[in-house]
Amino acid sequence: MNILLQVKNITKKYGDHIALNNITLDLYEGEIITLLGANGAGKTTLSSIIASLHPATSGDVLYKDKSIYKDLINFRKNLGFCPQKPNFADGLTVREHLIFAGHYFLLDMDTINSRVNELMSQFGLNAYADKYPSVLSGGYKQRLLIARSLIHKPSLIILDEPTVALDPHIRRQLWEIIKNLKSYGVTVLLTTHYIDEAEVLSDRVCVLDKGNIQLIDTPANLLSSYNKSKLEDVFLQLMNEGIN
Amino acid sequence: MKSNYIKTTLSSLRTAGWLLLCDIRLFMKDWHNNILDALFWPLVLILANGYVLPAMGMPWDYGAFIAVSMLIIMASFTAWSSANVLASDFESTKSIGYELTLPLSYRMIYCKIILHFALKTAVFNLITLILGKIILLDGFSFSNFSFIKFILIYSISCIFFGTFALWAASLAGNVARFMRLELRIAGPLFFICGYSFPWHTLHRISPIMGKLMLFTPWIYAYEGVRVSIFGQLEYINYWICFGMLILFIILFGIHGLYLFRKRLDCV
Repeated sequence: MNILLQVKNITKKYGDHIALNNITLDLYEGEIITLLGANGAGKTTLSSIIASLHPATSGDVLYKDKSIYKDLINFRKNLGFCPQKPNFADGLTVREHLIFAGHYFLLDMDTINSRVNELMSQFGLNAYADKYPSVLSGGYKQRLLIARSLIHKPSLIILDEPTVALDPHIRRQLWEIIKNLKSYGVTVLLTTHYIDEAEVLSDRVCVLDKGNIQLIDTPANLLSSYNKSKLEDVFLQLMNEGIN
Repeated sequence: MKSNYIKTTLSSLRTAGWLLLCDIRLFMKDWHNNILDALFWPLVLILANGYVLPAMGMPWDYGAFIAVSMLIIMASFTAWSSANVLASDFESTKSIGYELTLPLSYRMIYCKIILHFALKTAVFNLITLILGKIILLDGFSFSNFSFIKFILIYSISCIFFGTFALWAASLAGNVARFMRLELRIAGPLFFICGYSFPWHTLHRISPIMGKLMLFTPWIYAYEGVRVSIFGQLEYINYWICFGMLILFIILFGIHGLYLFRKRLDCV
């Protein structure tokens, strides 16, 4: 697989606190890679640096071998970002959110209309087209967030804890949606603290702890190398050992 | 290289334009509430200053003077209340984060926010002038009204209020601090800097206070708009008002941009 994005020696400090410590990570085209860690491990910090929402204190992020900071606008045209908290505009309907998102990426009206119809069907949003996001359930808000971030067919989508605080059956519905993203050739960077989610969805798992990468591998390799039947047991062992 | 830069800048500008259109659409959708918000304070104060205070010895045209002051102070407050929403966003939902991942720079988002505040401020508060005329009838004369001068100074004043409000929101960073800024500093300044009296009156009574007042931007907004409606008379020169407002937009704009970037820690 080809490398889509490289995180090179990223460090992020907030005053004296080191949120990320010299992180290096490659993202391959078309994979689902999960950043797994407890609260405060640095998952959201890392994903928001990759999303170019916040700058790193040091290090670089390369998209197709070019620093994203040298051509930020073009990088963002290839990026879809779903934040942890829904951030919709009050007063726009579900359909209008998608239409405006298309305009922000300067798609023409025909493309916008066809993409909006496509995404509304794909994410089961047709029944809510003229509703405001504030009346949607948590699961449908997440669907809309993902749909909005896909409007311009990005090559990389970042999902920051997309299933947090959702009911188990809604989480599973979202898992299907996330798994399907692969079939469109999108690279997915997912952050979560749900180990079952990482196990089901990921091609590779990157375990973060206190701003450091503990390890990166496929779920199958992690299970066999730690001789465990569940990823949760591997994770707990890692946390207990505080691996170096 | 240069053509690529121009192309990128143009595409960012178009994205910023769409964001602004979305903002306009949202505040126009709520036009009835925005108009009602712009009505009540001017209604009460123009009535009181146009009919009650002259009966207590104030000049007969004091109502017209206050009607114009109301236009400016309402514009200040509208921009301020828009920035209040942003200050709340800074500390809670952070919906601005969506804009910061779109293909445009944070500088353009910053300018877009100022324009959004300025437009919202400008559009709905114009009703104050109409209201003033309806309430005061012959007591509010437009015989010296200069449309061009009015549009120029009113637009630049609204851009200043938008810039100042965004600067304050970026400085405060949350609603509690923003409210404190309003109660302790901004609110009193809006009133003291020429709302109820022209600059030359203050300067005549206290030359020191008069000179100090020249360091505040609001005096130029009040005086400039008065010139465009009542004529030059004894007010501060129109073009000085215009120039000083541009200077204050630049000063607050640059410092605000620094605070905005620091507050959001954006790329």
